[in-house]
Amino acid sequence: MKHTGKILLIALALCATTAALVIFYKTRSLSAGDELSWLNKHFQIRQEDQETVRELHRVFSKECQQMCAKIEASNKHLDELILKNKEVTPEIVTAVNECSKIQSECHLSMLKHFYAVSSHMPPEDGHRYLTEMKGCIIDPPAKSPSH
Amino acid sequence: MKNQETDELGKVLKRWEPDIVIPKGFNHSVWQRIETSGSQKQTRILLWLTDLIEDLSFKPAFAAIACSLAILLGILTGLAQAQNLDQAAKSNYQQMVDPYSRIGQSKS
Repeated sequence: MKHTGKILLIALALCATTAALVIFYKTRSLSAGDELSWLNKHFQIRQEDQETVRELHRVFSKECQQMCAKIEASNKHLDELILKNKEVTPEIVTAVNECSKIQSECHLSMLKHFYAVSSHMPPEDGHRYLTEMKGCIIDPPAKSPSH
Repeated sequence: MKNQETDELGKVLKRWEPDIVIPKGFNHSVWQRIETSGSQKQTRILLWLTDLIEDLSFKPAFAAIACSLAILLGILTGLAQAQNLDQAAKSNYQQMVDPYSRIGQSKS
């Protein structure tokens, strides 16, 4: 019984050590404070383009923040109008159109950014990146014609 | 009052001569004990390792199965956890480039 217990303890230690090693090995290039670490881990970005991509990301993050504010404001306005009225009014139509317009603008900005980032990757990685990111624009992501 | 007592105690201690005969080679034996304490640690590790091998060899088949399963479980757990961390890193990136994802995150 004493031996069995010890063997199980050893097995438990082995299990924990193996798990820790696998986690370390698989996530060694991910950094909590760096949003681009995921991008750098999964997609090859040319060494000379690293700084350009970082700058693109920095600029777009700010743009994204401004878009967030616009979306929230238009959503809030529409929300208020929906509760204020009992039927579709011209004001609601305008607000809905405004929301759609902002959404299109956001999607186009995002798409421009995704194309810009993917252009700094080898073609295969660029295609993979676009495949991953198009889910942000098309919800749910459309199936590719090959499927 | 306290200072006075401390001074007096100090004086007494200075005058006190312990009637202990320090054995011959006392210093040498102290140094020897300090030196051997390092090798005692090594002996303890060796003993622990021998004990470990003895435990494992007591039921070799059981030990082999338990260790193999533990490693397999460790790999699977590690992979699952690594995937979670990777997914979190992906979401973190997406939030920075997708305003809708950012709004969704701030609402939840």
